Amino acid sequence: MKVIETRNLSKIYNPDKVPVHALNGVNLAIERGEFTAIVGPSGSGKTTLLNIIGGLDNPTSGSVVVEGTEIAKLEGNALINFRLHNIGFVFQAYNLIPVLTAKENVEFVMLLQTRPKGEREARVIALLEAVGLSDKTDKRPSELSGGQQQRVAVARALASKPKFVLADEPTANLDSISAENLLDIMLKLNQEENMTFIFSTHDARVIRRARRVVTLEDGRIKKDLVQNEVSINF
Amino acid sequence: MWMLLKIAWRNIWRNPTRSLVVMFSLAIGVWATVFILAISDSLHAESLREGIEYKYGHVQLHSRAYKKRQELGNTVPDAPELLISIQEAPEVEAATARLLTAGMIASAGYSSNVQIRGVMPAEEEATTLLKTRLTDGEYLDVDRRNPIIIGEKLMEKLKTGVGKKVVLTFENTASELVSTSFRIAGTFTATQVRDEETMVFVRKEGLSRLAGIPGEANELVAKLKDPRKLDTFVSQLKGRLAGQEIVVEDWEQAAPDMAMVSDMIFQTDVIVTIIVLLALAFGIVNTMLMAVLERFKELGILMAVGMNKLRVFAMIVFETTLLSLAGAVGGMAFGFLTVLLANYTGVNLSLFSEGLSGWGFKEVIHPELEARVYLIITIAVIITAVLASFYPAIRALALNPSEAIRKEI
Ligand SMILES: Nc1ncnc2c1ncn2[C@@H]1O[C@H](COP(=O)(O)OP(=O)(O)O)[C@@H](O)[C@H]1O
Ligand SMILES: [Mg+2]
Repeated sequence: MKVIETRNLSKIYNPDKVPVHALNGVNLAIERGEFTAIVGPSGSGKTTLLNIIGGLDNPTSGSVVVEGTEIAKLEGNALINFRLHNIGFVFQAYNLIPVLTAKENVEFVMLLQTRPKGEREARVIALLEAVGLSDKTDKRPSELSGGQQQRVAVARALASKPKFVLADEPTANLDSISAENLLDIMLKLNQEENMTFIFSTHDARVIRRARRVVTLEDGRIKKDLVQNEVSINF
Repeated sequence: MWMLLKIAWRNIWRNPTRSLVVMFSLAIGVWATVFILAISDSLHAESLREGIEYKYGHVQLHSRAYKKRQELGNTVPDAPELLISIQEAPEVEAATARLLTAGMIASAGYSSNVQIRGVMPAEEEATTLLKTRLTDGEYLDVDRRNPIIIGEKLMEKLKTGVGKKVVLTFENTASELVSTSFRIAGTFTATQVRDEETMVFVRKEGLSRLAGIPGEANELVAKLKDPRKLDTFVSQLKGRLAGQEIVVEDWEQAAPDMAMVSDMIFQTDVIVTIIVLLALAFGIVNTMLMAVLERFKELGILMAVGMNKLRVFAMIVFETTLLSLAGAVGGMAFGFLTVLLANYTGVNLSLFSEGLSGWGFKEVIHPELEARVYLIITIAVIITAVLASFYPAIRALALNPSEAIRKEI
């Protein structure tokens, strides 16, 4: 079943002054449970693609359909609400609210969704355990390492029970051990919870972990490969 | 909701120095406001109390004709019986009758226009404490013919003294000039300089005989046991005297000048408060704007993960309000203590007393502030904070999450 489908997606920044063609007719379909890496050199359009899929930015032309909803047609709070209930986000950095603890950060999106207290607490514990941070629940982001912060961000992304998780270069600021560790956790959640992940990267070790690798170049899909060999270190 | 409050509160402490500066300036502003309001409120209360106790009483009765033309002959019908019935009313502490007329006072070499107040010595003392304000000599109850009490200022002006003779001249009800000599029994002082220069007190009994209307009065004044019962007592009395040619007034109506001072003080209070709050509002806006701009990226991420506009708005309003309230509460506590201390030691206003005493103010006052005013200041600060938070909050809402996240900090 298709979770995401983009049709002929194009994005032109600064159309009036110095137009930048960031995306040029991207057609991409993502099935439930996929673990997809968007790769390509810097400036190839990875962030632009993920932002448009995530409803953070509008395409210049083309459409994005998420489980039947054409998201470019949503606006304002409707769009924010759609993101809240359907999409989990992990950014490159500054993901977490600095004044909240790990636990509170994960709980935060569930509070926004007004889920009951019992459910919130159980899920916070389960998710922090899944990302290996059971002992850091009451630490603030400043007291956590970069890798730990990104793991909290992954836990938060899953907390809202989204249809898929978008992660834009989640390992860019991490050392290689932390990066592989984060990918292990994402892969484990992908397999155990059948959570769909789409992440961008240009790190070869991260690319190795992906099931499907979509290569962008100058805003076009250059290659779209499914890898059978996936190494997992649990 | 709780989470938003929690975030707001913790956000305040991300930059403690900046927050403390805002809190401190708010505290000082509120403290100053509290102190100024306490002083002006007390001046006001003081002048009212003095006006009522020394001059106007709580309730005044005149004939309808006297309200139109303040003439000697426009007397209150059946004044003696009416006075007794008022004195006997359970709400009344004391009541007295007066006969008032304009006239001239002359000493050996000087003369001056005055209001001659014919009073009942014992009743006047019970109602307006005239005797307690004597500075020299004796009261009108001395066993001597035609005693008169004049103000100290008037005595200086006439270059006369206690025990000396003066001549009072006025027009009686038959439009004939009456001149009679009086002997100065004593002098009084008044907080209002004008009163000291223009009011002279004689016995009503003698004045009414000279005027040709023995026993009559054209003003009745009552002092109540409990000033809070003023309105009910006045309407009761009005009901009882309905149909008669008598006008019943409370002090506000009888003394519009006092009501005017009240209004003026109230307006000054409001203006001072608004100016202080306005100045503080600029500081608040500035600080919160800085906080919002600094957290652009973070706000972008919050909006990206699903925090809607109302919540972003509320979070910033909460943060501003909490920050302001913390300062305001501190300032208020400090202000409360200052007022308490000033109340204990008294504040000497002699620096401005020349100007103030003309309005009926004392030199040393003991400021006090009603609990209600603290509440009003709190509400005013909250309103200011909420209004001041709108601009930063709107700036936050205007941000585009994808651009905010891309921004390199
Ligand atoms: N806000 C913007 N305004 C103008 N050009 C932009 C903007 N954002 C991105 N670009 C340009 O669009 C292209 C794609 O950028 P991006 O999607 O960030 O690529 P990637 O994430 O693969 O590095 C780049 O050439 C970049 O300079
Ligand atoms: Mg990028």
